[in-house]
Amino acid sequence: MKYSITQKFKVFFIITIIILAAGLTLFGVFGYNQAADYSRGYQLNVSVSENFGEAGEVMKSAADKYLSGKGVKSADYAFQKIDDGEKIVYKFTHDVGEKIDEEELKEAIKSALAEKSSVLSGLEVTCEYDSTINYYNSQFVGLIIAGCISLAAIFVYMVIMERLAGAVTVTAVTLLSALIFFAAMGLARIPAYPFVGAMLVLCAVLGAVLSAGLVSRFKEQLKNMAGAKVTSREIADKGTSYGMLRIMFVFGALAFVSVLFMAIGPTYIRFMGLQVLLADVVATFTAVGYAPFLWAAIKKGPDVRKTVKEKPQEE
Amino acid sequence: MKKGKAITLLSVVSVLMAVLLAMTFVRFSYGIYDYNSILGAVKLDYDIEGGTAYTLTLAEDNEENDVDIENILKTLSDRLDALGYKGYSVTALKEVEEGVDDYSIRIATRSTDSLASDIAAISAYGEVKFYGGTSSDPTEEIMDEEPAVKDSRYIGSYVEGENTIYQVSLVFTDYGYKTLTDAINAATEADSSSQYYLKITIGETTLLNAAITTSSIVDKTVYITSQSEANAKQIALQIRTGGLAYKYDVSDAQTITPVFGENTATLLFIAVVAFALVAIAAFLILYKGYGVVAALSFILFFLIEIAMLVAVPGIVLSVPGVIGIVFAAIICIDGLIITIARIKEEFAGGKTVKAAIRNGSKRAFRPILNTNVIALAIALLLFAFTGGTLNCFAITLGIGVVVSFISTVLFTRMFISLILPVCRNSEKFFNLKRSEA
Repeated sequence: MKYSITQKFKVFFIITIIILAAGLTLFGVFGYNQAADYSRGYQLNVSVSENFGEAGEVMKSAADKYLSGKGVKSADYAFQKIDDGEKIVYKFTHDVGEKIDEEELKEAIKSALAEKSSVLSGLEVTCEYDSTINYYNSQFVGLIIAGCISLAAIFVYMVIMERLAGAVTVTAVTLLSALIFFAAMGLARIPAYPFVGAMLVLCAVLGAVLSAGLVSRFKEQLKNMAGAKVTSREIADKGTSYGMLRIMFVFGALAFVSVLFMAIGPTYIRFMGLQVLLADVVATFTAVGYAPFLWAAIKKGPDVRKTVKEKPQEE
Repeated sequence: MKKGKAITLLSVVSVLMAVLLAMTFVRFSYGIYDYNSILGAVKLDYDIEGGTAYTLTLAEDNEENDVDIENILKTLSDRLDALGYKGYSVTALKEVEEGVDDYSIRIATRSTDSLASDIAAISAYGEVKFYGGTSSDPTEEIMDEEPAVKDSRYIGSYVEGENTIYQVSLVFTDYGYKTLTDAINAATEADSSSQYYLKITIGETTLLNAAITTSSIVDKTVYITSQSEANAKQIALQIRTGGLAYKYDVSDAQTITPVFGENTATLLFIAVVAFALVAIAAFLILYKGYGVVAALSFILFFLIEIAMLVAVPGIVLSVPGVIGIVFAAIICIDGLIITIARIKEEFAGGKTVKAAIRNGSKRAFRPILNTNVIALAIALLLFAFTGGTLNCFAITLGIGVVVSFISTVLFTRMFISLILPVCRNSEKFFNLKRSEA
């Protein structure tokens, strides 16, 4: 028995509903899980009066060790070095103030400096735990305007190139990809950074690109099967099976680069890799699950009979 | 094409690609001349390369200390945006101790030659206020209920006698224009011989104090003059982005590592190169001879994309920009696979190798055009309607899509037409098989 992707549409639909309902509910209740840099948060600023010799490095490793000893894992924070390590900024999304005693940390750093050399022991150490407010222009309004005009432009272009069925399919998949990604981000609680807007666009464009390729394939399949007694679903299934290698290659390539980001990057880059992977999965899921079914459903009418009667193109 | 000619052209193209590859990645010194490679010339934003941080602390001579910190952060961010900074962080810090209310603000962004003067302009004190009346030094504040300024720009200079005058335009909102013209009309109706004066101030500085009539406000715009270009630009920036209600002391510049981690640039470079190498290996394993063609086109795509990052003025690469490049590469891969799939089908259907390549490429053109046009349209709209680092994503994606289209349509055909005459057994080389049916 041949595998039919269009017959599995219900599965895709149910999964979509679950993700949308759960993701949007969680988003409504808790909002996005924003990273420390782009929301209210906390910072621990440790500095040494002079970055003499290895002073900065010693201070950093002593502070890391102190935090780890207090149960604050490296995955819980991001850090930046100021003035070549003379000052270290640890950024937290959640308040870890109860775990950190500034004086205790100061002493830990001082004794680490003293262990290294008597010269370093004389350096002054300061520790300060601050609450922070970060301002970030999310470009949300611009993104929505660009998104709406893009959908209209895609629809018009695809109507001209691939007729109504292709246009509706690609536009719907693009919109659905963006919506599912938005909901999945709320569901997965992956920390959101400013590039989350870029990821949303990436997911939508990938959905559009994959579905546009499939639609072209369906149309070719329609011409190739001219005269044969086939339903639009069979044409869509056949077209999808032909286009599957391409989809898997694209999916694999993007998945590979996202895994690379996750494998080699620090905290922030790891989360970026995770978002790329999520965008990749969502776009592929939407294109494969929805494009064949939608195209076949719209082609069911008189349009398909008209096209099937046409003679195949002589080459 | 004859075999000899194909070999010659293939050699020339190979040499050119090798030179371009070396120019893109290899750095070397020759005498006093240091060549930094094309990749080395790409400008990197704060989130990849780090930059410079300044700390702003509330000055002691502020009249009131009840600071609306979120509004201040927004004003500072708007000013950074207005000066063209894309990747930056603006953070307010307050000690977590009872009784401490003062926020210090840390601004971190990429290092530029003008950053110090830009930070001075960004942190410049003074709210814009308007005063109007029939006195030559009006004291009654007007237009203070809603935003009165729509836009303000430095528009250029002119010479008056021995002095150069620098001009700033101030465009009123509908509310500002209506309030001002109503006030002028009311004043002149009450006493037709009197003149109406408009005074505009920023902090303690008077920018304009002159008699004004409704007919002198053309296109809802008034003009302010300044004695220097830098001052004129700062005035325009302050008016456009709203006033800063508090005075801040600015610290010395401090270097700061990237927000994404110390080795972000190296790690991203390794990830992208590894991705490209694996894609090329996959092409070669899956598609044999066509894999060679696809790999060459893919390499050219990357080389041109990197060159464009340097050639197109104003591009500063950020992390979302790198994502844009990777995504454009994915679209390029997509186009290459669409082409080989069509070629294989044509050959399986009974065509000769040449006819299969010709017809397959022709059939692949439409889906490739569709995907590239859609991606390009979205990139253009994103560029037009968003700012910040999303803008960089849109730019690298847009450029990448155009380069991808050229690579998949033109370069692929060029490499096939050069390789085909050299092959002894083109069927085997391109891994083409007849349909079993």
